[in-house]
Amino acid sequence: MKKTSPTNTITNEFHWWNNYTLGQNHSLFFVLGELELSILPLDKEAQISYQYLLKEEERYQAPQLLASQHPELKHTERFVINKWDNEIRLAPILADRPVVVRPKNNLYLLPNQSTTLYVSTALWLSIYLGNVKEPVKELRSISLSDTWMGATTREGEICYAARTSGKISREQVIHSPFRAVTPVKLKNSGKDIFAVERIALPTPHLSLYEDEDSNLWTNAVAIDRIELKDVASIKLESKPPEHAKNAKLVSKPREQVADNKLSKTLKHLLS
Amino acid sequence: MEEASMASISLFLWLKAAILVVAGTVIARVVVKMLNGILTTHLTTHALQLSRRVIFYGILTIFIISALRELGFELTLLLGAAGILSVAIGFASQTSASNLISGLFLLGEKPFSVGDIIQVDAVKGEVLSIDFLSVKLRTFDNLFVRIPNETLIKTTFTNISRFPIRRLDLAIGVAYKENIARVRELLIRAADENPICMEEPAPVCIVDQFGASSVDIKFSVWVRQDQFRNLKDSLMEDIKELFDKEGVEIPFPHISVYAGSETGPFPIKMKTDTEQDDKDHKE
Repeated sequence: MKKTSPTNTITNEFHWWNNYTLGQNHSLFFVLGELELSILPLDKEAQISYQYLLKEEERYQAPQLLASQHPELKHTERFVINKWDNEIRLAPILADRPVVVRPKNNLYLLPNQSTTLYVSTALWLSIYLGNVKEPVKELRSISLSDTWMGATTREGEICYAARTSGKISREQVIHSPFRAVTPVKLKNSGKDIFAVERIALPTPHLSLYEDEDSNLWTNAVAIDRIELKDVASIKLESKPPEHAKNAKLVSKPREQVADNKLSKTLKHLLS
Repeated sequence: MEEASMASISLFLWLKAAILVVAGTVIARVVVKMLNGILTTHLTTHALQLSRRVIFYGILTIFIISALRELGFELTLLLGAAGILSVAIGFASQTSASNLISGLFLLGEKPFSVGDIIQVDAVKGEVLSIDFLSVKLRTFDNLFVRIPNETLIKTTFTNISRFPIRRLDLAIGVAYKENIARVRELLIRAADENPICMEEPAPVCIVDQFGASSVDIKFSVWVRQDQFRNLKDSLMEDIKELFDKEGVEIPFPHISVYAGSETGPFPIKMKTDTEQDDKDHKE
């Protein structure tokens, strides 16, 4: 078993979003969170196999090139591709639905106070084959429960649910290769205490950046709780967070939002 | 000679009329096909089906009227005849008329659209089309069901896929010896660990009744419309597995036999194997 050398030379082992060129009869094996993935190039086709580990078994294992031995995983899919030179690109992308995050402990923002909450959300993995522009497969790195964000059961949006420790100090933020950190800038312009019970992060509208240490960040979300109103004004910052040094764009938002304002469907962002 | 020329003129007129009808059908189809591409992005499936029909039959009617005029029919006379005919037809086609009017009400009210899942009495299926006389469904065992519009106006039906999420109610019986608080905790844990079970609205656990053999608990969880069956299947399996692991008993129905006396125990006489063998031998 030997390690792959990505096409572009990256030394950081957490930097898994690269191009990989596989030799004949070699497969690429990778563990990202709960996802175990194997890609095997064959004559005129690529076999993508994957399975999910239990929640408590989540881990990271950098992509490795396996010669002659191909792990047997639960699901296998075959992709026909006539002309390709066994080039594979792995790319991270944010969740395809908003993620509703609940702080593990109750969080209250006093009147006229502001803070930045660092929230991490699970990443999806996109697999590109050869010169095909669209990803042939997208897989989540961690299983997330479904949840509903809306005032009633008739109107709202289906989201993913997640818990956060809600760090308010940047130094305490723990980065992971299968999570991206979103700075949520909270401001209470009201005169009463603002209970932050849950925050719906509009992940399909966020961009993904990497800093110089290969940590993944998204652009910041600014939430201003307007006086005497339950709904806050929400704005997505267009630039990478200021903490991400020498930030480079890794993936664009899945859906663009006009004028950096959230769509109507996300009006219940805070409750 | 004259008769022959008259016959040829008549044949020519009939041919002309036939060409008009055929041309009308072709033009109507072409127009519908052209508009289909434009309208697909703007209209719902149901509105698209309806517009296609209106456009097709509208164009065809114009060509049929032209064909009839070519054949020398007076339109006013035809309308007059249609007036008299309509009375006769009206009596003969009460059901169709009722269905037609019901269909118009259904179109106006829009209780469901094409692609929705509805249940009418015992029939449950996906709406294929909403027509003037009937609604066509495809059941989950792939049968084609035609329901007259009049039936839908008169009866109660359920649109299952109207809202994006729905509630799944599970009736779970546990033995009387079990601690209800612990059972609640286990049920909530099973829901938490199932990714398709929604976190919000939160699962609810209610003690429903003291049943004949068990304490009956109603466990309600929310799920995405399209995952309803999957959740029912996976959650029930999860609960069974968790109860087995934690030693929570799901009792079988059982009956207590009362001997008839308030204090006296039900008489039971124990016999040893040898006593029984002796008795069998004597017999």
